[in-house]
Amino acid sequence: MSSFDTNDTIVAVATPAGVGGIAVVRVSGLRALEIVSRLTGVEWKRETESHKAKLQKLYSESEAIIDEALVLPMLGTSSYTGEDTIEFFCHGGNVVAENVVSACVSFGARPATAGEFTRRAFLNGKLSLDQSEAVVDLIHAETSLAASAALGQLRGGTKKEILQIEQPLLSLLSELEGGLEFLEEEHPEMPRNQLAEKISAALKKINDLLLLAETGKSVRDGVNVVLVGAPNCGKSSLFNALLSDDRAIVDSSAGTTRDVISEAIIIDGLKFILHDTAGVRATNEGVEQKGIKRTHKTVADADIVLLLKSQDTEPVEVNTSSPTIVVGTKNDIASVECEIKTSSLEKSGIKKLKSEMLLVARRDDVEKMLRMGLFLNERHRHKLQSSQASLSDLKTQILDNKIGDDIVATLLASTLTELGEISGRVYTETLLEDVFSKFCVGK
Amino acid sequence: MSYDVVVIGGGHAGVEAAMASSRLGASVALVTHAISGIGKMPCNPAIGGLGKGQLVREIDVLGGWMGRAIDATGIQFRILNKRKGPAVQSPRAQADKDKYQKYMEDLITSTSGITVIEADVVELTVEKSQFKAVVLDNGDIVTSSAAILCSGTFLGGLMHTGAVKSDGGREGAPASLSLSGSLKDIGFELFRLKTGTPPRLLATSIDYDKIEAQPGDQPPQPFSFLTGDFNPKQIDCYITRSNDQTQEIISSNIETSPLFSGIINGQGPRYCPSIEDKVVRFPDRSSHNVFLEPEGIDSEEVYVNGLSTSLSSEVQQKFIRSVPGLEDAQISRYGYAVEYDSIPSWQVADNLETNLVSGLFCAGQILGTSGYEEAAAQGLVAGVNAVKKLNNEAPLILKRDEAYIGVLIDDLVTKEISEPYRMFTSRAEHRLSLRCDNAETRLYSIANDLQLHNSEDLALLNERAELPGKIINYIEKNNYSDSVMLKQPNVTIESLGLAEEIKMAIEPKLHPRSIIDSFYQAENDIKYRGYIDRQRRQLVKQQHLDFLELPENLNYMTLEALSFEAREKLQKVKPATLGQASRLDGVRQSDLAVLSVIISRAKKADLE
Ligand SMILES: Cc1cc2nc3c(=O)[nH]c(=O)nc-3n(C[C@H](O)[C@H](O)[C@H](O)COP(=O)(O)OP(=O)(O)OC[C@H]3O[C@@H](n4cnc5c(N)ncnc54)[C@H](O)[C@@H]3O)c2cc1C
Ligand SMILES: Nc1nc2c(ncn2[C@@H]2O[C@H](COP(=O)(O)OP(=O)(O)O)[C@@H](O)[C@H]2O)c(=O)[nH]1
Ligand SMILES: [Mg+2]
Repeated sequence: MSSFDTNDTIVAVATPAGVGGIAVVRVSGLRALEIVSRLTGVEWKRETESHKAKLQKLYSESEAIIDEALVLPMLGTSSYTGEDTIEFFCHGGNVVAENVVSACVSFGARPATAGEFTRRAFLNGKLSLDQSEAVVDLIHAETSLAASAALGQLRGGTKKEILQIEQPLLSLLSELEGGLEFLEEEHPEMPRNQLAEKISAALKKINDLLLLAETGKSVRDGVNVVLVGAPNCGKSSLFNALLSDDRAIVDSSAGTTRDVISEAIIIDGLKFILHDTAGVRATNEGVEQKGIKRTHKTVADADIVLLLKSQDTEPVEVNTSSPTIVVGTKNDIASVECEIKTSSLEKSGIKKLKSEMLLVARRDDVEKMLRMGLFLNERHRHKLQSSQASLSDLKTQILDNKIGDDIVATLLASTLTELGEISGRVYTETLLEDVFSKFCVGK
Repeated sequence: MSYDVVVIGGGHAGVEAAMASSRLGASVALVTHAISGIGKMPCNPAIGGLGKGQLVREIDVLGGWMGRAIDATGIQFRILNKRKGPAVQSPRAQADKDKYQKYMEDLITSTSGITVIEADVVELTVEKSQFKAVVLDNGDIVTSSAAILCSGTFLGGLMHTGAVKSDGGREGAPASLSLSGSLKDIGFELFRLKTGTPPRLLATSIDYDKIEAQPGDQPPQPFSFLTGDFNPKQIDCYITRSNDQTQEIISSNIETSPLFSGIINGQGPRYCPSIEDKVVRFPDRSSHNVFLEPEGIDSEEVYVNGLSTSLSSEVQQKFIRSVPGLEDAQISRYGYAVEYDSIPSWQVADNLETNLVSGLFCAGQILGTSGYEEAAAQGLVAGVNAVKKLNNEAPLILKRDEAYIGVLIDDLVTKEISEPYRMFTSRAEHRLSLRCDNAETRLYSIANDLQLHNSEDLALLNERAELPGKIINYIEKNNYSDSVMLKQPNVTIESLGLAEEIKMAIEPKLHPRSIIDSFYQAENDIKYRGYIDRQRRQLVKQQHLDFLELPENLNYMTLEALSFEAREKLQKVKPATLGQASRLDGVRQSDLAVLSVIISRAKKADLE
């Protein structure tokens, strides 16, 4: 069966399994009205019933009572999916809800696949693709920041920003195309620098968005913070101090922490994932060597590296391209020459370290991102990056006077196709498959 | 009287249709008002131009006659838009209008398989949705297995100059007033379109000293690959401009325009506006280009390109004389607009046969297009497909990535056309590969299958079509770094000093000009290759839809999952593929989803 099949009427439990006293069952499709009529044993009419909730007894095919539930029909195109939708608010949790689903199936519905409701909303033009993705983000949001960001995107923030890049490019394209239909005596080629300027303007906007895509990633996935330093310099102690909870093992014999230990904390709404690592030093011990290898890998994936130094250990160097914060430890014993001095014992300097981490993670951009209603993900970032690459390539070719307007127009059109994939203005089946596979059933 | 194919109308569509059907072995009757009207140019004395030159080149390669005719009768040849890139360059030629007409007339009358009947077709006879015969104004009945309707601007034709109205298909020719009724009785939907033409001036009354001459190209470039030595006598056109005074005269007399007083209902072409249109739509631009184009080598008359009008004759006289160089100009014929019935083109399938009547084909202005080239292209395709249908053979359907003709017909079949349709290069998404220079290479294998050309001409075509590929091969094998160099702008085979070496190695049996043309094509192929590949990759995503065929006798009205608008549109148009359906206005993504399910079900059923 193709997941493109919008002929069928679909049904699923829309609330998460095993929680809460009320479960919502959602039915959507051509036969929704017929199904609710059979389920309730009364006739439901399109003209009078839409968007009015009613308490109704629900019956199975064998006419046994399943539940007394609140029934909310949303008919016509003004529903989430853009087609006739009925929601049942059932008592008694999931068993009852499952019974309602079974009854719906016996009356002609089919169990929905993951993301099928939202896919229909997309296909019926109710949501753009990035808005559909915001639905997934909303479901999976772990912090309230991530939830607000997803909401902003759901309200069309990203779509609007992309449109602001697309619109001037579209009018540039139509100007170029128009020009091509005229004689050069009447309508000469657009001056090259003028063309290049318009492309630069789009490039600038894409750049801005890409920066915020970084922030989007931090909000969605959290910021990876890796603590590195010589054995016994106080990594595990600082890790615990940051967590304000005794998590990692603290031991004064060098090399106790052999594996990477990770814990998440939320600072000012933003999730930071702290990674405590084995110390960096030459060692013969097999297990520890493995730990050190792991350290290097973790460092490579870090968004922020905390490089710890104490007076009683040899300073180490790390090779990383990630932003690095040098942290002096054991400040209660002796002070290290650096900006941020901490003592895990006295819990001092921790606050300062946290604000430095927020700064490096560009927490300020989160506000900007929220204001714009942007919540860009990897897919968006990828499309933006390739649009950026093709536009700057185009700009170079224009300035080098290498191509005529016939090619400029073609290249511009193909970039617009790429940008169009962000909102789903342009889409293919594989793209949809990809996006909607991240959903759970019932959404 | 009985024939295989009857062609109604001997305009640009009718000529190509009759020739194609006849070449494929059918006995053809061409019924038209006047033999002396065959291949007549009622408007601009020119062939080709932006987007249209490509059509003529394709017609020529496939075996049509327009290219050969203009090469034989042209009086000025130019390549337009040389600076904007090879993909948007087009040849255009001024025609000696009378000689062009005579060429086509002689062609038709000397073709043994074609019988010309001078008459007005007043009725089509259809039985059980099958075409049977045409009824002529004198009562004669001509029966045939297929018919091609190419009636141009003549059905219900109504001409306007100011408030003066008269029946007519064009100046000096009667309208065809009965056929529309017959078409409506059969069940066709008709709609009203409008087009217009400028006044003609006496050549001797123009002051050429005041205005700029526009000479033809030296050397001139012909349209047809069959044209050998080419040395036509070329004459100049002239360019002048309208001014504030012109603007003022027109705007103060705008109420005499039947266009603005509401007398004309037909929809005119937006891109080819009358001067009064331009004055109203661009009030801030008081100056418009005016091209003065002689209608022939010895013609008394000059065509005033850019000043198409249906204002009253007094106003025409006044505003013409406001234009520099035209102060004493004498109008020999006044401009006018013509309104006519046409058949909204969704009523034909992609072989140009009507959905309603089996065996009835349409081509040209009757389908809502405008222009000689657009008409000729459809005529050729309809002429071929009428015979293919009789022989039970697969129709000639060119794809959008093969030819502008493919774009034209696909657009006609899928788009709701609300104004006369003219070809533009921007209509072709595969524009970079649909160039004038590579028409031979793009279409020669189709031309070989079609066999409209005789075998000698086909041999020449094949030689020409394959030469650029050989040139590229040679360069890549022997001078690879040169093939890289050729990607640079302004680097040519000639400038690299490779021309002689290549000619010696390949020894093409072609006219020297065709060899130069092939060099040019090879250079463009190399320069464009990367861009074309990139574009192909992108278009492939959408293109797979074009291979998904929709079941032929699907009743869309019963498919409730489709939006109502889509149901109606699909039922009307009956697209052949999902790709065509996707290009219809009013068909939404969700509708395509439904259709793709239907296709996969149909496939499954086929397998079982
Ligand atoms: C006033 C005017 C202005 C135009 N302006 C432009 C313009 O600005 N730009 C542009 O691109 N094109 C213009 N055209 C259009 C161009 O002339 C046509 O597009 C082209 O000629 C169409 O070719 P065709 O073969 O479809 O029809 P036509 O060339 O119109 O030929 C139709 C033929 O069919 C014959 N015929 C019609 N009905 C019957 C019948 N019932 N029985 C027998 N014979 C019949 C006629 O006698 C005629 O020979 C204009 C045309 C006119 C008349
Ligand atoms: N006085 C003092 N001792 C500390 C502090 N932080 C760590 N230590 C001690 O230093 C030793 C090594 O600490 P640990 O956190 O295990 O270091 P790691 O090997 O870098 O993880 C332990 O004995 C800790 O008690 C601190 O802030 N002050
Ligand atoms: Mg440790």
